[in-house]
Amino acid sequence: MRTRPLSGARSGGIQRTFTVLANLIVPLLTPGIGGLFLLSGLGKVLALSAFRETVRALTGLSEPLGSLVALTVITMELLCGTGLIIRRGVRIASILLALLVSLFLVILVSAVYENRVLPCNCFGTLGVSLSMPAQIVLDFLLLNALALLLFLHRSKDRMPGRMRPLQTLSIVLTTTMLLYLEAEIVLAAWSRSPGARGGTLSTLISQVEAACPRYRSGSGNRALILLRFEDFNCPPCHDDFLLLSDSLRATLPADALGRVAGAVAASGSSPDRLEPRVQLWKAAARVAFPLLAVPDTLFSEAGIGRSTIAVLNSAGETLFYGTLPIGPASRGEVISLLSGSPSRTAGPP
Amino acid sequence: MSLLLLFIFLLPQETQRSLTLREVATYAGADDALFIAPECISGWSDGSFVVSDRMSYTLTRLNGSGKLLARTGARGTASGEFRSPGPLDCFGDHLAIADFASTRIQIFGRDLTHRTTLLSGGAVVDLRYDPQGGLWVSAHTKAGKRLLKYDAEGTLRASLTPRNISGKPFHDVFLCSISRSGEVFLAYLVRNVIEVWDTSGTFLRQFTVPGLPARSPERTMNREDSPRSIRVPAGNIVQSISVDPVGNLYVLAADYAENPGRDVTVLTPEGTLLSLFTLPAPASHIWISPLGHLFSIQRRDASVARYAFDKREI
Repeated sequence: MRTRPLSGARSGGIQRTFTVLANLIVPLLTPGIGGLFLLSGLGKVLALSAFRETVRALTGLSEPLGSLVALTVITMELLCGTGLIIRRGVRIASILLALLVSLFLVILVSAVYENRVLPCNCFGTLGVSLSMPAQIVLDFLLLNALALLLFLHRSKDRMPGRMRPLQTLSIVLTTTMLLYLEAEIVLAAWSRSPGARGGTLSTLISQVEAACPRYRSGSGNRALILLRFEDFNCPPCHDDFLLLSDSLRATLPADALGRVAGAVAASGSSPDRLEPRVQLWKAAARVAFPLLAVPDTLFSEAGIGRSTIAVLNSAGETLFYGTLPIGPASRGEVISLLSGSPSRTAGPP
Repeated sequence: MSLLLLFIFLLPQETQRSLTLREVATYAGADDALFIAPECISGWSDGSFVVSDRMSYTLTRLNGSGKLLARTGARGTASGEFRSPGPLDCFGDHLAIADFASTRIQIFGRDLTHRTTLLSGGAVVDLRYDPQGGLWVSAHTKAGKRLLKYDAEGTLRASLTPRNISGKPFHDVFLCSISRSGEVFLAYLVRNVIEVWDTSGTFLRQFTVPGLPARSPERTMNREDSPRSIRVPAGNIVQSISVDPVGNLYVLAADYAENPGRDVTVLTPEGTLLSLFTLPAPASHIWISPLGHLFSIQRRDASVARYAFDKREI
């Protein structure tokens, strides 16, 4: 068979490069990714019930269906992880794992945007607890690694020799766009995640500090309660806030109560018009900490869609972030954060 | 052709009334801060009326010109105190007021002194007095949504299951209103059905409100206390109902009207459309006073508006 010397030499060069790359990277990637999924699958087997609960929390499925999905995920991780390690069925294992990781990503990103905190049971009993942005970053890294593995594994067999410049360009452009999109999603999720709320609340905190000197001068964990006036049309929200307010008044010493303040906004109502109503309500409801009417735009800028309670440490990191109604367990957590050690470091949610 | 036109001309047509609203007064807007979050309103034929306020935990009685006659209430669970004062209705020399979504109904005198407290068989959604002084309560009981009737002493006299109860908790919530002739109107919040009963507990008929959808669409709600999400109505079909002194039913449409919270449909007791008008501002509750004035609670600026009607046959 005759070949054209010039293009043949060029394509042969590209093919050689890909072969070298594939020979270098594939043996590293397959046991690395495979080991990670195998470890993750084994960890989940050992903490099966916790993982089943996580799946149910993520999907809202019924108990039998949730268990089925949990078992499917574990089986996929174990089988595909093993397949990658022993280099059997690498392509199908990579595709299945990429689909699984993509599903995790969709659930995680939507949870961040809905202000929901999802428990991390990614590694079961191994006790690795990751924050939601960290889970998103890990999943994107895995997805990219799986895509690279799939590409190199495929290219090793047949692709580069036949690849045209236009194809190369389109692959480079698509990869760049995908990486850019991933970076945007990670950054947006990071800025919206509960752990990073301290930053977005800074303007509101400054407003409250300016109006309440005690709140500014306090050291230790502080609570900022952000109330949407409209939310009190919902009796559970109203009652939940009052229960929290009563509990804070009854349990916190005066210095700790000084580290609690609230800002109230109502859509279409200026702070001047809202302020008299807020102060009347504060007195009628016997709220023991300051409440300040603020412009609705401040809530919008901070992404506060519903009435929210945030507890921050002295470094401004968010220790607790929840929307009303928070319920008795979270109420206890807020009280404990405010009455406990002077300042706790922000941990994973 | 001319015969056809003559036929159309002679065809008996339903008389509709064009109602034009004229604002008579507005009580306690945000600048006055008399109310924080007015919830419900009712009153007497002397022109005075009482407003329950969910966030000041009070009842406020004003006369027609807006003069404060009496005020009572505080946050709490003792007699004369409220957790969240909600639906109320006046009859004779007293009024009944329920704490929102609780079983507690308190009876006050016209001077707003507490008289007695009765416990309903379920969390109260709405309540109305009938012309004989019987108290009708739309309640969420253990057995589901029921229409309960109490006599003046607070003894349960009847427990009725409305015709359209489906067993779905959100779909079965209904409001009630009673005419002077003793017709009890039930309006479902998320379904377009009006049931009419008499005060002896007999079902009379049912009809729909023209121009409103049959039911509210649903959405999925994630619960923070449970991994399971639930399907809930995305909005309400009916916001509030009231009956005028001649027995016509006024239905304030909620989220699915052309003007949500503003469009009011007026129907005869048989369900025939009489008129449709639009309130100048969105309302959360309407009440037609014994003098025939329409009161609306405007939640956005915490005010109560009073309108008179200018009527014209069309």
